[in-house]
Amino acid sequence: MDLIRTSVASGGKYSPASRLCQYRVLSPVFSAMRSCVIPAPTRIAATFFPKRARMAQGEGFFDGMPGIVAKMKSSQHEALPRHVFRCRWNQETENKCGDFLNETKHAAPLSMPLPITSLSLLSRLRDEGDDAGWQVSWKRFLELYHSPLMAMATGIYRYQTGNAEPPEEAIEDVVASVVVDFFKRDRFDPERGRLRTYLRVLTNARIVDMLRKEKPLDHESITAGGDALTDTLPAESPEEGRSFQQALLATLIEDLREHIPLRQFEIFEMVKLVGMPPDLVAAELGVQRGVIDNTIYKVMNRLREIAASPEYQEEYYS
Amino acid sequence: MKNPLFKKTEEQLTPREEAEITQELAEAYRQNEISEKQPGFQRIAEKVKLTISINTEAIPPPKNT
Repeated sequence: MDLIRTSVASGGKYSPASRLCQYRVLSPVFSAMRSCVIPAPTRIAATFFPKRARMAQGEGFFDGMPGIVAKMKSSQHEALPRHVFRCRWNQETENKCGDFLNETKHAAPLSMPLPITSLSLLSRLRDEGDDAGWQVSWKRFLELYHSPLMAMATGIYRYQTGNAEPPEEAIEDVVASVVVDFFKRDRFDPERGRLRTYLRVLTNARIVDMLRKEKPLDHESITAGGDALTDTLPAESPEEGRSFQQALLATLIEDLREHIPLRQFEIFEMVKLVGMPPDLVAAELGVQRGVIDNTIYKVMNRLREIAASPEYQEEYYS
Repeated sequence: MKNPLFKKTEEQLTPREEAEITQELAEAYRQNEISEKQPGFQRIAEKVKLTISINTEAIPPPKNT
């Protein structure tokens, strides 16, 4: 609580335009949350929100937090809405915030690291240990890779059935199975192979399983072909390639978010991802235009450093 | 063609390359933000949840010693 008060007194101020609490207030609060030893649902919520820098005016971060945590607890951590970053700062909010931080201080210690979604850590997400971490992991993975998996499953289905049009439900079943498999099986190792190849093999196996089980008489080539079918994969379609590249860029953005200060990411997000004019962002955040330009320069360099890793390079190009 | 985002970091980006990167990142970001609204997403999420719950129920709870 002292941390927040100090933060408000020293750096935090109301934005003249929106009267919303500025980033400089929340940044140290998030840092405190991250360093706090906090229970799983709260820890996940605290980690989750910085990744979801959605700014829904009129709804407070801390106003919503206790309710969300309670809902997560009561529904086995299923409720993870895209939410807000800024909050209206008043006595009521401060009290709620205090309750929230008190809860975190008195929680049982956990040695597990905060869940992070990045390409290099995808394999780790599967075995985060507790159920809550796992729930967040697969949902985040599905959000990032839903489109390429759909394109992948559709292409492979057509390939395995001689260009038959796949039923929508069948493709959804396959994608769901692949997501479960990805998180259940301890096979994917970024150092041993590419993610896209691993996902294609998994998807192909599930498609073949499904076709064999479904209508073996209609798919004689599959039953006759035996395991050879699981060994051959169709060429990647342009749609699938494009979709995977987009998912990879989204993963890169997630990775970037984990590697730079929150405020820097907000500026980068507003200017480069949302497309707001730099002058407007400077006015919104109450800083000089030069700060925005310098931040963008730094963040772009950091982004390129992360993208330069062999892992990203190999995944991006098929 | 090589994406300029993946150029060596010591190589300077041209304004055109930077604009290209920005456009691609913004598109990836936008697509990711609306992923939950894409066709089939919710149904797949439900199927994953269902599979997880079935698998979880199938595993007997640890015995208290």
